[in-house]
Amino acid sequence: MKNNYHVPKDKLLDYTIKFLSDAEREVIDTHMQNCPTCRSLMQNQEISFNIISREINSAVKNIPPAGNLQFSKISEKIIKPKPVRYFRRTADLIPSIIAILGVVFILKDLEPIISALLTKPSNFYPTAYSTMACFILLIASVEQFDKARMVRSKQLQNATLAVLLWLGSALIGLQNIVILLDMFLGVIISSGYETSASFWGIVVTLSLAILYIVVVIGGGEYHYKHLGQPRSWKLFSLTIVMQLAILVLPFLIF
Amino acid sequence: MANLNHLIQTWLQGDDNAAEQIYYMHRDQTFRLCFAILGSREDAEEATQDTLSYALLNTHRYDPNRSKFSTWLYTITISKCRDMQRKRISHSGKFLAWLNKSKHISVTTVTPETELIYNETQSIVLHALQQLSPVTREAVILRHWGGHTYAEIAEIVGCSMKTAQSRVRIAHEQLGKILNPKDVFMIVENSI
Repeated sequence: MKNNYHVPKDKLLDYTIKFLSDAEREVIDTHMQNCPTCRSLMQNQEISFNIISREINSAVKNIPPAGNLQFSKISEKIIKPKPVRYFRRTADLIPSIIAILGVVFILKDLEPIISALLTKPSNFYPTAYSTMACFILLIASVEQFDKARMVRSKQLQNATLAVLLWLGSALIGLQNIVILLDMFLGVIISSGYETSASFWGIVVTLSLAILYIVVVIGGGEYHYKHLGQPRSWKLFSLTIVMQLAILVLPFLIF
Repeated sequence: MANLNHLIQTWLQGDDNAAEQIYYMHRDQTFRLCFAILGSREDAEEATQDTLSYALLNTHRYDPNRSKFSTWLYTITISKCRDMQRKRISHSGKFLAWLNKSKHISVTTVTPETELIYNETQSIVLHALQQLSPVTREAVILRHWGGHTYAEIAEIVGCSMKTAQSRVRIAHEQLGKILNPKDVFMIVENSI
């Protein structure tokens, strides 16, 4: 921009509004250092901009408050109890149905748990039912990941699914105890300490039982507190993945 | 802000008193924005109630990690004001004109009560604002009254940041033309 040229009026506004690139600003800055006319025009432009800006702010700020607008006028619309619809759509039932199936499968495999009370290996190997139950419960929980917290109307749906997942993972937990105990006793016996297997069996059973109770109750509290939130569904998934890993351990080791 | 976040959480857990507090915390600001955009007290009141009802019913959709609550609320406010403007167009028989001129038509009217509320300077500015197109008016009000950044304006009105800047620029250009030298002189005189 030579000195016999002046900054166009629209560029002055662009400059004031910071609508220009750094390079363009620099050119104008350099030009204005040597051009009193443009400097003066720029000052006027800035004054005009600031006045308009301030007056808009002041005009809107001085609008009297809406004293006659009351919460009571909209409260009915917001707080009015909605008709109870336990499941809004049939599709909402699907995760719960899947979870029920998972719980049924895990119950099929519960019988060997009785043998966990014994202090000798039950030679329990989880069948396809248990692993399938894990996968099914996993699907039911992962399916919820992208769902935002649902308020009120869907609370029952969330609660149903959470209870099923909690119950399913608690039952799988029992099987996990049996597997871990079996593996431990197997190691003791194969190491030639068969006489002390009974004592160690009781110790390990008690330890695992305490851990189990703590995890089941603590987990239950956590899921209750964060019902319907992604973090709850994620914890369910993580728990089930870990349980699945323990379930397949005997197949990998023995 | 911590208090507001707490209120939001409490309301999400079903506490109606929290909803009431959130309502009164934002009522006046929402009303002012509606009034500045719509230029009519009656319409602004309706838009304010619609905005706050919608916001309270959909608080679970608000993500504090994405934006400030006020930004989210003003997004709803702008949307409700646009609904109101559309309603007004269809009621006032200007629908065909709107179709022809698209978004550049300004349908806001300044009601007599506006004249009573404002002093002379504010009245001049308001008159000038009402002559802008709705989209440029929204942008310039959010910039100078709300003090929002161009990025926030872009998010609120649903456009790119460049477009938001451009709208503010157009608004200033038009206001410069609308406000005749006599008005500007009076504003300057009053502000001294």
